[in-house]
Amino acid sequence: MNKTVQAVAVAGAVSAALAMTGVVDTASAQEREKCYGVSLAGQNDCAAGEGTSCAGTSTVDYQGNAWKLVPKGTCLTMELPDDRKGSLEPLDRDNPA
Amino acid sequence: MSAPRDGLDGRHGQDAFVSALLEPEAAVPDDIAPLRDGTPANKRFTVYRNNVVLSLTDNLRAAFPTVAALVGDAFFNAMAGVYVREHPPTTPLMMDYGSDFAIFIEGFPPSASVPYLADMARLEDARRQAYHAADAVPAPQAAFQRLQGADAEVARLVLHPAVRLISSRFPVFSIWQRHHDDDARALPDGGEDVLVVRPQLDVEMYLLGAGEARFIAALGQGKRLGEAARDAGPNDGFDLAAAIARLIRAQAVSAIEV
Repeated sequence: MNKTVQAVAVAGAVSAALAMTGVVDTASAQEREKCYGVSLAGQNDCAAGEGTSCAGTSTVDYQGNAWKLVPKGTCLTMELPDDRKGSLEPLDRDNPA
Repeated sequence: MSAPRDGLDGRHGQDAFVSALLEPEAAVPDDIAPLRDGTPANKRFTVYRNNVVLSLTDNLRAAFPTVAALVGDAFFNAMAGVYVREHPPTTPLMMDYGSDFAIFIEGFPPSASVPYLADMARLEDARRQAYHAADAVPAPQAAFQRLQGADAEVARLVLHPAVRLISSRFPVFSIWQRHHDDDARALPDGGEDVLVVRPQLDVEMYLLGAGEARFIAALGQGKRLGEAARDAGPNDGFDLAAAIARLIRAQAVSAIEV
């Protein structure tokens, strides 16, 4: 196939692909937030990068540095035993020694 | 035969301990102290030995839930028991344990009656790898919109770090889906290629059309868009526009280099 024709075909395929896809829903992550200090032992979530701790590894209830995905806007108002509150940042409380 | 005695801290002691742990018939290593009241270590060691295999089996069940469900608990436990004893973990990172489980299943005679089982294990391992892969922000649609004219042909689409491809002679995607949706519809004939992605926090899968797996694999090798399209082969029904559309929809591309 002629180089120019080929280039046009690939560009055309990209345009056609964009027409096919419409608007991609990237909202699934944005509808939720990471909430620290609210998950029960062993039930934390995880989106790991290399070398990070991971899902199901928290060892105490409400562990402050473990997070759980919760619906957006609900983390800070979550009711927990003994006046604990959820946090959008890692917490110092309830972390294993 | 008397091996050099250097206690459980030393290499010989550890090897003896490990083989006794994994071999149900083996004697309790001499180095394990009896209880203070003189009760020998047998019973405690047997409990420990049992827990080692049980916890590793549970780990495999968590990593390969569909494999486990397809064959049932009795079969899975027996198969995992053999695997765990032959392939004890080589690192403490349980997130990787069982990465060669599919290969083991292929050579495990009792599983011959479930020929797609090994590929299901491959698919579930791919899902797990995708889950633990590095995070990356998918390239926005606008990045594709900028691909005009001659640029498109020579562009390199960098795949998201979580992207995995599974090609099977069996309809492994449909089997997975039927199982998870509790769907009793008949399975399609023939094999299936599956794209596994994790654009944000959840692992997602896409069933691929003809030639698409080859196309995406070629992109993964760093080939340019036009070259990868030629690799996929126009002769067997490969649809470049549909393939690019799927990559956009799946958010499987993290950068576009022109």
